[in-house]
Amino acid sequence: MIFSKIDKKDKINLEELNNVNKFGKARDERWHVKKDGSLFRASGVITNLVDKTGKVSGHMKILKDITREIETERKIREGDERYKSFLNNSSEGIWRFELEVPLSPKLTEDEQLDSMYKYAYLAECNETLAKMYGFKNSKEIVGARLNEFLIKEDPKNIEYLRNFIKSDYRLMNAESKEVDRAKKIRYFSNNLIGVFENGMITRAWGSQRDITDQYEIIRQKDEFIGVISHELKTPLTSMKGYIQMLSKRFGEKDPELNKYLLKVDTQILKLTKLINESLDVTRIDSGKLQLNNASFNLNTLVKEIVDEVQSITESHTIKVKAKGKALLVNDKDRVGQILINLLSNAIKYSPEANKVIVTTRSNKNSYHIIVKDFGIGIPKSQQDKIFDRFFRADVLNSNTFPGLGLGLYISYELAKRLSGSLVFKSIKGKGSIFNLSLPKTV
Amino acid sequence: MIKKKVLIADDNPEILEIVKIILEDEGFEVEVTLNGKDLLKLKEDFPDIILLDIRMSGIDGNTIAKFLKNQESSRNIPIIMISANRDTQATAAESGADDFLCKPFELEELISKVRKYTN
Repeated sequence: MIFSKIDKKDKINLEELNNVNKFGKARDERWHVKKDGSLFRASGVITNLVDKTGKVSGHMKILKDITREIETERKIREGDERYKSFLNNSSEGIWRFELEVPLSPKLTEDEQLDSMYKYAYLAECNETLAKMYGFKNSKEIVGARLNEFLIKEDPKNIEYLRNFIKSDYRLMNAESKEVDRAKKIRYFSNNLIGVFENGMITRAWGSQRDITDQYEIIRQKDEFIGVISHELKTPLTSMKGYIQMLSKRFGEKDPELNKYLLKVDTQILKLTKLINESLDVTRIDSGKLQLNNASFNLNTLVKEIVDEVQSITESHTIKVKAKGKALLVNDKDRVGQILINLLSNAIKYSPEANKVIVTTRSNKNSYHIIVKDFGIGIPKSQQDKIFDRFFRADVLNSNTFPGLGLGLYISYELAKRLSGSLVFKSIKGKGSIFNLSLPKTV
Repeated sequence: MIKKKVLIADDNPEILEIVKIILEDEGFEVEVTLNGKDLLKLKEDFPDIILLDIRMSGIDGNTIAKFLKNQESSRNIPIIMISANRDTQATAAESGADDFLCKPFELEELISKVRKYTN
């Protein structure tokens, strides 16, 4: 049925015929009715039928059913809206950056960084992202350049982008330190992927989560530990002072008193070590570890440390093989700290043995301090965990080997900060060999 | 023999008391102050050495060290900085301090450093 009852009521049939008569041709697109009463959408063309004499004898209408096309279009539109709503209601900021000039992955890291800062702009983002940076909507932020938020002067951001390059342009859970519209610092956790076209990077997609609040909590925790450690050290200092004064004034006349005073002093030393360890972990984790580099002879340091540790060790003899000059520039105290940790562990975890061997070696570019013990060793199953935070030797009676489980974690992280490394070999029941290497020049 | 004079500035009275006892036992004349700002008023009767806590209420040790090291009359007085935080060693050196002690320090270390700079 070309015209439904309603069409006729609305005089659409007359209107169409009028148009045909007037212009010789008419187009329309509307709902038509099928025989069974269901509707279909069709677009049609009406033309005049002309007889031999040129007189209009009737009309012809060609209809094309476009119900399916309309339906598909509607579905696409709805899908598009759903997708947009999905993007905009996401708690993650989602974005697409385009490069005005495609980037060659063959360039050096520095050249790539320059290129990114020069040619990258925000082409598209969801509303969440705009709000993360303090903008009202995405329209306000689209078009922004990289440097407006990811400040180039901040080394953390350069490291972030370098890692993006190093990861083959697929970086997950990477942190960036950015500024929002009001120039306030915000921290984000990012996932991003570079898109290649003909071997060149043309754009990057990504999503990000605001972790500024978590950062603030961590910062407060670090500050709290810092303040507590400082406050704990002050009474410790005066306690230590009084103990040492008493020992000096009365200890010589009373050996028993002196023995007890020394025990208190040892406990103070343990407490100090615990405080320093928790401070070190805080500094390592927050990247605030400061190094005091100076030139020193590694072999002299090794002998000094061994003497120090030997003086409080009765159970083991520490043998040293460290001859000649081994000059290097590094943080002497921190190197000493690692060695003390390694020696303490070597002694602690070899209760049946009576010796520990320390050797220094000189290679082309590095020095090595090797600490060998003949103790319980580390089972294969635990070897990949020993440098983890809070790792403790898995022994039946953990009271036998007390501690926070931070010594090796700190040593490992310190070695990295000192531009060196810490590795080990161990056989269960035979013992362990730890090798600390330090570069000859930093 | 004239006793060498040590001046200690720390806002913690317990630390002042024990360090005073220890150094007096070693034969030094010891003066103490809880207020770091007193050191900015030093005009005459200078000590032979100053022990300075980095973290004090009101004023920090680095500021005092910089002031004393920039003042002609007090430039040559050795300063040993004391801190609970060994990471402050570098800033202590920058402010002109001659040496550094980390809390809690060993008695022997304190005595030997004070001796070293007063001889």
